[in-house]
Parts: sequence; structure tokens; C-alpha cells
Amino acid sequence: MKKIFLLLAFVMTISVANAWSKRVDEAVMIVANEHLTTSAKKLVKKYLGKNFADDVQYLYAVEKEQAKTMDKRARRRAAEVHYLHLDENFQPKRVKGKDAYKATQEALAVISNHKSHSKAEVTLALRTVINLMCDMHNLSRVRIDGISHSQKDFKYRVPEGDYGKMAETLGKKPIRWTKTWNRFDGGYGYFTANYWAEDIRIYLGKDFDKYAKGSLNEWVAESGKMAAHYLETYKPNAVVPYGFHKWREPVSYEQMIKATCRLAALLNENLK
Amino acid sequence: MKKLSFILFAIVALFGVHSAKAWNGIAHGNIVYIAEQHLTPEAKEKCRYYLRHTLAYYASWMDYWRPMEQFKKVNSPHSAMATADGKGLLITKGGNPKGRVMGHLRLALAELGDGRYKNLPDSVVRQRLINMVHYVPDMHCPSHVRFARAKIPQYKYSHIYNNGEKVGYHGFWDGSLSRGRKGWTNEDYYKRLDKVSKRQAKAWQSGSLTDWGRDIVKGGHQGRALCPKGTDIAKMTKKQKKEVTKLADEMALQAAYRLAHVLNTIFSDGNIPVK
Repeated sequence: MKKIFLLLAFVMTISVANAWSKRVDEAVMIVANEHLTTSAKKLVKKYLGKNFADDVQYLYAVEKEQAKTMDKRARRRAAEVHYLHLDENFQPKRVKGKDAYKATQEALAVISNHKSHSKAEVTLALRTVINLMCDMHNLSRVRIDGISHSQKDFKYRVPEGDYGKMAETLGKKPIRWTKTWNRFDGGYGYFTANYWAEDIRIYLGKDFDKYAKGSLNEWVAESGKMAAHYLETYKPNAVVPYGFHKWREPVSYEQMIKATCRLAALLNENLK
Repeated sequence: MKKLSFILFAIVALFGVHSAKAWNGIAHGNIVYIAEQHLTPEAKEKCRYYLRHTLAYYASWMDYWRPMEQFKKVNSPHSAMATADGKGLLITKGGNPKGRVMGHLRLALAELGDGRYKNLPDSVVRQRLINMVHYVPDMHCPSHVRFARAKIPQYKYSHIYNNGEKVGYHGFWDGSLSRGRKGWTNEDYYKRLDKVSKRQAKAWQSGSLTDWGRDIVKGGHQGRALCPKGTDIAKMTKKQKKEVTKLADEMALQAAYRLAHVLNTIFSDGNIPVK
């Protein structure tokens, strides 16, 4: 028991990788909570408190603090938990240590058996699932055998001088694969989490079931296929048009909606 | 000599069009967010039906896509052209570039107003809405009122200074709403700026496009008066800075209230007169 707790604590406190913004993760949790069953909602409140979405923000602060005391290698190893490692068939791979899939499964085991775990353990497991469900739907977090061993090479550039002043700066500075997916809400820095949540509600409408169906393995494979599609379409050093990150925004947005619905589905299934 | 002057003018004009970006993204988003708070429930529901997002989500859509080849030719809706006497805005029929944003607004109202939006495919209404949420705020930016500079020679400058270094007059006004307000969220802008009385709101919203044009041009003149040729913004007094913020706030609120009025009118099957 203690081992699981320590493992989860390790998993959740030392990640340093950038993900979607705090506001987006918070919004995902706010809307997911609205789709929980009454009993699941009660339990979320019990373990995460009244301001359940604030915990998402708290987690980032802890991670940042922990990262200060680590060397580069340790940080990188710890951050792997925020990534999906998939084989050529987009199925979860056996990996050394933990990846997002494995860590989520372990956290779900704690959540589904919450009565026999301490409050701290369940709280941590819930935070793990919230955080990693967002990560699993962020396409920059997918590593696929034979395609994306070193995503750092996937840098794109805009044709210099082609689109006026704005693109000139971008033309000189390559756009990184991770950044284009991570910062899809970059143009909306002034939106609060509540406003994002409102936007998600409008977009989602009555389609909750459409997005929430399936299993964890199917969702992981889906993220893998989507990431592979983009990695294969835009090879390293591809010249992409100005506003390329905006082209991808609808894809990222859909991923955010999926994360919201699937998080709710997982909690409904396991938090009884 | 005349030929050379014309070529130089053409270069300046061309550069002007491509560099113009109007309010920055923060200002655009927040103006539209404020407008959203003044929509009737019916208009809000319709907007959300067509856009499948909040209005503010699309506030800067036109800026993101403008450098793309297919949008370069329609860059003109980002600014408004003053009449030769500098007292109003040109409102041409349709999307004539001479009429710029007002021409486009007139076209959109003709297409959507008086309940005509119901005859159009959803995708067309959606695109018109995306356009309007951007260019109604755009035309209220003081630097987006373009004057016939040949007739107003004192406006023949496109740069001011910051500590002796050249900065764009245009960019100065683009950032004027968010300057000094780091970290403000959309809710902050709404709660702290929107203290408009019902009477004032009615005054801004009433009248025709021509009346609005007169107001907007006044803002354009005020912008020039606050930052005349050779202004060094680093040397501005507190009072001057306050006046700049006051003008930016007022123009932004005018834009928000008018945008709300345009959308409320369209979705209550009404229209806004041109004259």
C-alpha cells in the first residue's frame, strides 16, 4: 500500500513537462465534474474538496517546486510519466518506469478501490487521473515506435519574409512540434478557466456520449493515430505556412473535449 | 517628380495595409467578451448555435488568418476610411475596398438583417459573424481611422517616439487598451471597465452607420491630437497617459456596445439604417 502511495507521489510531484495551460486543465475538470453521477460527484468533493478544480492548479505549483532540486537527467526521467509510449500498432508499450498509460491504470485501481485506501492516496490518484487524461490527449505527448523517437527534431519553419513582418520572426525561429500542441490556447491568455469551461459546454452540446464512449486502450490508440498522422504529414524541418499552429487548433480543441468527457466517464466508472 | 511621389505613396499605402493589425489580441477578446454580456438571450443562443463557441473565441480569427494568401486581398476590412472632409466614414455599397470596414459591415447587414439570415446556409452566417466580431472592434481603434492625409497634412506621420526611438503610431494605439493592465482577465476588463450608464449605451447604439462613423472619426482625430507628430511617449505626462487610456477605454466600450447592438438587431429580425 505504502509502495503505491509513494509511487503515485513520485509520479505526481516531479513532472516538469509543459502541458496545456492551467486554465485549460481546470476547465476540463470543471466541465467533467458536471457530467459525473451524483455519487461520483459526492466522492470528488470528499477527496478534492469544494474547489476541486483548484487542485489542478496546485499540482503544477508543487511540480515546479520539486523540479528545482533535480538534475536534468532526473527531470527528464520523471517527466516520462506525462508521455504515452506506443508500439507500431498504437498499443501501449512495456516501458521502463512509468508512462501516462501505466500511471493512469494504477491510479484507477486506487480510485476504484477507494474505500480501502487512505484519503491522501485517493486524492493523489484523482489528481493523477485528471492530469494524465489531459496529457494523453495532448498529441505532443505521444511517442510512437518508428515515427517519433526524437520529437525534438520535429521543428518547422515559416517561409522567411513571406507573410510580412509577423512571419519574419517566426521564420528565423523554428516552431517546435511540442510547442504547437501545448500552447494551443496561447492567443487566449486572458480567458479564465470558467470562460474556457463555458466554451467547452457550448461546443460539447449534447454530444457527451459520442466523445465518452470506448476504453482507455482505444483512446490511447486514437491519440497515437492522430499524432502519427501529423508526424508523417509534416516531416522534420518542413516549411509550414504562417499561422500553422492555428491550423491545428481545431484538432487540439477536439482533444480537449475528448479529455473532458473521458475523464468524466472514467470517474463515473471507477468512483462508486 | 509626380510619378515618384505617386510610387512612394503607393508603397506607403501598401505597407500600411499589411502592417495594420488593429487592437491587439487581448483588446479584441475583451471587447467581444463585454459585447457578449450585453446580448439578448435570443441573440446569444443564435450566435452560439452558428459558431459552436463563445463569441470571444473568434475575436481575433481574422487576424490569425490574414497573412494567408487567400485573405490578403481582403485585408481592407481591418480599417475604416474617413471621408475627404474628415468628418465621417466612407460607407460604400458592398465590400468595396474604398469603404473598407464600413462597406463590409453594410454588406453583412444587408445579407443578414431583416431576418434574411434565415435564408442563408449556416456556414455563411457563421463566417459573417466571425467577420463582424472582429471588424466592428477594429474600426473603433483610433489608429484604424484612415484619413486622406493629403488634405490633412498635420496627420502625415506614421511614427512617434519612445525614448527617442521610432515606434509606430499604429502599434501605440493597438496596445492602448491592455497597456499597464498585465494579468487582467476577461472578467477583470468587464467588471472594471464596463460602467456605462443605460443612457450612454443608448446614445452609442442609436442612429445609423453614418452616425457611428461620425463618432468613430472623432476618436480618430482625438487619437492624433493626443499623439501629434514627434510625440515621445516616454515623455508623456501622467495626465496625457490618462487621457490616452480614457480614449482607448471609451472607444473599446463603444465597440462592445455597438457590436452587441448589431447582433441583437440581426437576431431580432431588424436592421441598422445606413443613413
